[in-house]
Amino acid sequence: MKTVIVATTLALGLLSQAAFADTLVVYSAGPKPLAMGLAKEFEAKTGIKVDMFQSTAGKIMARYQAEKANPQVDVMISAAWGDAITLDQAGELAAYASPESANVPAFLKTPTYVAQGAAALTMVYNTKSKMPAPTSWADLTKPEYRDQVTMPDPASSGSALTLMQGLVTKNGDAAWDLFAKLNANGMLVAGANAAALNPVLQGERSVVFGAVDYIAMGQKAKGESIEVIYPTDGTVLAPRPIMILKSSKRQDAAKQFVDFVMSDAGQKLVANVLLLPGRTDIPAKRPGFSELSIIEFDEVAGAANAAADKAKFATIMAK
Amino acid sequence: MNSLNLHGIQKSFGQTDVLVDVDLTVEAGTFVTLLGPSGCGKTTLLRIIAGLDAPDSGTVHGRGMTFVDTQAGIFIPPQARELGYVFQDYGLWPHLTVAENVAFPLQMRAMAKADIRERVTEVLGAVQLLNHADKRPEKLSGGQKQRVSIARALAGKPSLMLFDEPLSNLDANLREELGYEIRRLTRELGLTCINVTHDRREAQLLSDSIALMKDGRIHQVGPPDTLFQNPIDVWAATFLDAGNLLPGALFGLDTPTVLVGRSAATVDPTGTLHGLVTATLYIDDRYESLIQVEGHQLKVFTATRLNPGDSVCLRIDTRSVRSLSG
Amino acid sequence: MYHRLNKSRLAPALWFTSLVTLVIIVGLPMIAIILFAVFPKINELSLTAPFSLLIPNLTDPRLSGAIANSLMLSASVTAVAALTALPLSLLRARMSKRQGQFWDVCFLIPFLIPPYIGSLAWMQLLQRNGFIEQLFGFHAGAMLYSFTGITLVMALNLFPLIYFSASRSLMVIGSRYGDIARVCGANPLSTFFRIDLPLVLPALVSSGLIVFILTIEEFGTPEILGRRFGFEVMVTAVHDKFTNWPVDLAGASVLCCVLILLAFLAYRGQQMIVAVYQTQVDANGFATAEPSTSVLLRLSTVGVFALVAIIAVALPLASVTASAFMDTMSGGLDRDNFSLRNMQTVFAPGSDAINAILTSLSLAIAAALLTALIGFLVAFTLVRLPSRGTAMLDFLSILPNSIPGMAVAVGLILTWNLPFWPVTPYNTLLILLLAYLCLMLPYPIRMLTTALRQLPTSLDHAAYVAGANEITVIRRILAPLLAPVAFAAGFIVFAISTRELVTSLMLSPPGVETVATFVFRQFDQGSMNVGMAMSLLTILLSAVVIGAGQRLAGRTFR
Repeated sequence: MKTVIVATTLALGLLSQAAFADTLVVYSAGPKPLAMGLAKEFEAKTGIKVDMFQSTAGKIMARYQAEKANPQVDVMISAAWGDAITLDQAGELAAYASPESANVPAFLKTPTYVAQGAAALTMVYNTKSKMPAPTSWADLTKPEYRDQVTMPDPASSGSALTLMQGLVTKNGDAAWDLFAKLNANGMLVAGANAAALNPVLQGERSVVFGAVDYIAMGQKAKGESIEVIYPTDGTVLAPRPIMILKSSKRQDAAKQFVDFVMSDAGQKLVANVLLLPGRTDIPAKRPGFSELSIIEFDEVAGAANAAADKAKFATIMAK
Repeated sequence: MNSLNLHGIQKSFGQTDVLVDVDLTVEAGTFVTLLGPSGCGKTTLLRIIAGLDAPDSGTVHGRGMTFVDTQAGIFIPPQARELGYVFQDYGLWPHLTVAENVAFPLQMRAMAKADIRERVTEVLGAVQLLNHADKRPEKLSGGQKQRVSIARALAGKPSLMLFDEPLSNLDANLREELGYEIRRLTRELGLTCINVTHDRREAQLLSDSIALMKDGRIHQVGPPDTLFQNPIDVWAATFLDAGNLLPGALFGLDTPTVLVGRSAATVDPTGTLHGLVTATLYIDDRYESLIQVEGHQLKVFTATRLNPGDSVCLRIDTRSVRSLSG
Repeated sequence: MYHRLNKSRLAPALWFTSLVTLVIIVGLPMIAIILFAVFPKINELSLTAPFSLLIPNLTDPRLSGAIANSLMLSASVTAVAALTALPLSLLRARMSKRQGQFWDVCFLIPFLIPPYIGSLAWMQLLQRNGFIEQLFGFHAGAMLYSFTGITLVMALNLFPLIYFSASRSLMVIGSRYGDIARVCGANPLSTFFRIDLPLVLPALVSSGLIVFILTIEEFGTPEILGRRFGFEVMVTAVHDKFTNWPVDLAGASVLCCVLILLAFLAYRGQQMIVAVYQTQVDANGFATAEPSTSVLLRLSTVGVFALVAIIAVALPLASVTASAFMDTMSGGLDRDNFSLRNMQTVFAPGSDAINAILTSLSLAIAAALLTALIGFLVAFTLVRLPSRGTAMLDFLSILPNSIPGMAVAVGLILTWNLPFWPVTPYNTLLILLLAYLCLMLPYPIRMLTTALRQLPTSLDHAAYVAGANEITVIRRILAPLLAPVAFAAGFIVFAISTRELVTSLMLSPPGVETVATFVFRQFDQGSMNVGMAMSLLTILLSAVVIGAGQRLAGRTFR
């Protein structure tokens, strides 16, 4: 009995760390090495300590919402542009135009948030499968890809939603028709990005429709037999907004952090994880702005239509 | 000083009255048994004395102190009453050895280790279990377990001992043997004892005095011989199996029922009652027969064997015929 | 039976402590969630628009489908788990001690495999081009991605709960009652249905309830397998609201209240069934069944246990192991694809894996010890000091089992992030510990109350009369007697804590990783095989800790 009490006290002592002092709190969506690298170099450069909570876009938003009674976070980096739009419309973001953001393309910045980097949506193809390599989105409706295609669900994946809305904006009803044909061809729509990519890596399926490119490129670099294919008929970017919360009591430090992320040093860290840096003047370690055929569309209008578009997509896929 | 006094004890569980205005005095150094059928409230009364239950109202005085006084708001918890308690199912702690079981109450009194060892040896010696001291209870027979339970209760030198059917889990020979032993031990130590049982044999075996209980009340109190010879009513006589019950008319009496002592009826050719033998047993060096007399059944002891079907004449010693009320 | 010492000063104190502890750990986050469902802006400390979200959420047509699916799935999983566990328990009761212990340890392993890992393992085995197809040329993807598949995977993960409860109960009942029935002329079949089954039913129903509620609460398997064929349950619906854009915490809270209601109904149902069948087994019925001497029976017993162990333990474990040692996922089961790289990544200097393991282990040990301690206190209060509030205490103690971890996490944030607390566990590791305590408390409380009910009250009373107070009775008498049960409960808590995912993801203070969040990150953006390597390591490590703990416990308590 005594030992139990002693052990419990010890364990509790081990666990209870001092609550953090006056440090900058950042919530960031993955990838982890990038989040950690940014925090570390920022600390080294400015001496301001960063508490970095790294998770998925959905989880950091849920945590932010739940904490509203006593907001903790100063800066958020999401993987979904839609999150920034929602927060901006709710008036919860502080305006800040970082001098470092001058070279970010206009469609990737607003008065309150700016793209730290971006991923492009691609097709990922398992080279061990005996299929021909696809070149355009529409290729995947061909009979040889029957039951071989996966796609992240726009309901769970912000980037898949962007792709769907981008294609619909560009092609109108033809895009809906494409999804109907993909569905008829046995495309699997399941969960978030990993749930679509893993079956292709494991060889259960052959192609992902709408994979996040930098993740797939990372897998390929690790030796997976896959190829990342940018469709000839164009794709969308999934920009990753960085934003300062109005509720933050450390606005100055927050601004410094945004400046750092958008600086040469910060953008190089972004490039290192194979993301497309937000600034066009920073060389990407992957196909850059000039090499991609990007479909631009009004994402604010897209956000307004998101619920309807998701519902329509779900109806088509349920057939 | 060591007597026990209960006054006005009242207890109900929900709608059921379990104890109704019970008064009881137990003289110091005597052994009293609460005897009654199941559900009569005797166990609850014992638990109230021990402090395992609290009465709704009433007072309990014991060992010269007030255990319970509901009006004054006094309730001494069981751990402070310094009683001995012997449980029907022994209540031995299976994870402790015999010696550790017995030592427990002494440890609770923060006695010195050496004193505890000495006292444990002493009580285990008294119940003849010294060579089992280091065994776990599961290795002992039922009789041995109950001896450990008694030793544990005695260890703290209580002046008041409570027994909850201490013999009922034991087989017949052992019961008698242990019964005598309990009597001897408690007498020698001058303990005031209260026992609870539904078994009249157990009550007879142990008690100086018996309190017969019925429906939450004390029905009749007295030494065993008085009680069994003079039950106050038909119910008491029936429960105690005190003798043969016959209609008073058979003896020219007005009372509807009379009690006839077992040994008052003898088989005698000159007897006035005619009966038919229905069954015969041989018990304890005599014959015991059931005899049907005018639709009533009598139990009669004889020295010689009667056979079922025999017609017999019975003589009744009228001095032992007692009228019963109710 | 009435054994309240209503004038004792310690009894109310113990009662109060139990209640306050449960209210702080379980009650507050639950109340927060219920308030959130009613007041959608309470996260901003505003009471505006009360009830505005109830109707829209409750009339959502998706909801009724999800409720129906949840109930159907839980009922089938419970049925399959019970049907698997019951014959095993019957055979277990006739085994020699040593053999029985071996299989018990074996069936602890499914507990150690996190459900999401188990599901992924089954996918890798059975899907098209999966391990089975690579080795034997056939696949069972269609079966796996169906209601049958998801039911089987979950039942295989959960049946040990029923197995342990039913086999313990059968051992207590012993063979005596069955023997009597046989002497009365019953054949083995009617002995089983007329005698053994009714006697073991309370244990079966109580553990069945836990399986039922755990299935309702389970997220990983429906998320991984159910999504593939459009099978939505309550928890995946809740999770979508919690994490899919736009995040709708208040709406999710409404669905959580529905889950709480379902759990309450299941709890009442179980109580009613148990009330009908609950019986007191004679104290002398403890004679356990003799190990069977029939060679045929012994051989078939080994056969049946081995078969279940292969399916429930060996196959998923083999799948996880294979993944852990595969260089690339696309490389498949190929000698050239064998590699230690994943393990090296885990052990690499500067890797977060080691820290994550240490964090998880210390959290799990603390959770195991504290839940055992609190469970002990609550069980004592529930069983030995019953009073009017007992039913509430009892329900509070099972409530967390019914709530998705996500809801517990949000409830904890709502509760502990309020500006007026002078000190708060939020944003320290203590909040994770609090979450684990909340989620795991039902296990020790269930197990300890069941065990305590079987101890005769005369053991306590003998101690009271001998001069002990409640604390001494707990410390000297009940604690040593129940220690083996408390240890067993602690192991379960330990095993589940090491793999807890959802609350860890939400509540980890910045910069802290647990095993599960590490694995999740590998699955999400890194390498699935590194995740599998980490899982394998954790499973083995937990097994070692549990094995060592049991040895230690075995030495201390006979």
